[in-house]
Amino acid sequence: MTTRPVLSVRDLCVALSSETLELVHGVNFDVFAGETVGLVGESGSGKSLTLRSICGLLPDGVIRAGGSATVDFEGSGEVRDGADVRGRGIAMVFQEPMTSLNPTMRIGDLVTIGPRTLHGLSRDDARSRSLELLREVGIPDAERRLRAWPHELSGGLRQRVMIAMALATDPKILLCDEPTTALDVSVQDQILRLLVQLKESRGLSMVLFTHDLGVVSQVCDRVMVMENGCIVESGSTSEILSNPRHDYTQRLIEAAR
Amino acid sequence: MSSRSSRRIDPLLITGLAIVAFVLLLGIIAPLITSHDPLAQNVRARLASPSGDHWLGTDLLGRDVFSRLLHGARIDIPLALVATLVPAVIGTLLGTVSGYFSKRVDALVMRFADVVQAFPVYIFLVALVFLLGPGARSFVVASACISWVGYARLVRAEVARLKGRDFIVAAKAAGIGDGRVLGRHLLPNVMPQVYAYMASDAVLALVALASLSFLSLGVQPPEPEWGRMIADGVDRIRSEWWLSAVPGLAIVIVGIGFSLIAHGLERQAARR
Repeated sequence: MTTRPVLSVRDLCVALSSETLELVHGVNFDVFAGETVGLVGESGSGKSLTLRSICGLLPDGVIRAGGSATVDFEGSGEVRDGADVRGRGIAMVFQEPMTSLNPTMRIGDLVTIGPRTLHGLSRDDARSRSLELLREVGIPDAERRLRAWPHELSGGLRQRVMIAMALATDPKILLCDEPTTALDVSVQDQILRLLVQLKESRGLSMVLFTHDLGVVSQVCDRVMVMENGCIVESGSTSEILSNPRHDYTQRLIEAAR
Repeated sequence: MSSRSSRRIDPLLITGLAIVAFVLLLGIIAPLITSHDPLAQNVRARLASPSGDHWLGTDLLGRDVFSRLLHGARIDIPLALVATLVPAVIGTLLGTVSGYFSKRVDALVMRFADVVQAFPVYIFLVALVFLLGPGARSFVVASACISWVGYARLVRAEVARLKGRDFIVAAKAAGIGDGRVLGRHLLPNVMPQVYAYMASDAVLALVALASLSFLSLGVQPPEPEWGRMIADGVDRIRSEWWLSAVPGLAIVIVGIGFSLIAHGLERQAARR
């Protein structure tokens, strides 16, 4: 296959700006169209920083020290930095649905904050777009939920709202940071199925940043294992799970049993 | 803002608003309630005791105290509100810039705040008004120079606390710019605290105005300002005690009203 990758991460380094302490050391990977890739590692392994660095959302005091993360914008071959196409070519779903929704905005307004700014969508258009998106992510009684506040929704529904928010600008790549970790087991499954279904209906590429090998085995085509800011092993999901070479991967699999 | 419509309004807030609104309303309809001009002097009727004609008697110059008391509400309440609003706007803007943007601006603003806070409030206030010349406008300007510090500190701390929050990062991830993040996502979460602070600041502004006027640095005679009225009655405190007590009571009542509003707003902000 000679297709171009939609997301290309090269020698990505992330470091503390105050000291010369590197947290992520030269991460390389490609994501191709329609693919689901898992980036696995325990907390502190640098996967969240990698994600945030790709889209230029690093917390204060942490900087991208080197390397690049480029997105094939709109499949045109025009390559842009992830931070520049944030919300357009590339979107994110976060871990904590309970705290990732602005408590002072109604669901209907919240879902379309992206397109209202980026595409200058009018209020009425935004409303019908919100409704469409809420239905697409399987929120029952979407019409009524437009006027709900985030605190009135359950965790699973909030995560669906987050996903709707991410899809609002029709991205090609979805980065999911522990998308199911904060949810009940039964809800985890529903959200995963929703992600897979959306990936297929929209032709998305997905990157799952997670510590949960169960999730990875269910949805990912390929897996990369991250430890101490380095990718230590990568390969197809079945290969890695059945025949792990690196002992960190072996330990992760042990721990998941 | 529509965000409050689904939440119950705090009873303390309603009580406080009712008190302040009631006193303000009395001031507005004062010409209908009393037939006496608050400025009209009548030396022959000076220091009259309360009667059917002069409900609260007359002062040293024979002016009707009840009329002056009601008209005072037109001066004290709006001035206290303006002297609260101006520094609130300035402080909120500076605090936002400080908390959200560059470290250099932050350092500059906060060092300025330190300097202002190094002085006792009243001494600074009196000194500034003295410099600017006595009067209501000087009072507002001096308040703006001093009171912005509280807002700047409050807003800066809140913005800095909130800007790393998940929902702010999520909003940024949706692709929206700094201005919109601030206006639509950060400030709506900070403003309830600012409103509560404003209400408690209004109590201080009210008392500060009365104090300055008492010292002849605030609203100038013959305007019926409450602090000035207290000062006018001080010499007669042993015989015509109500000359000072009544405007004092008015300040206390409005002050309680503002405090209740502040308390109600605080509770409402905390409940979210």
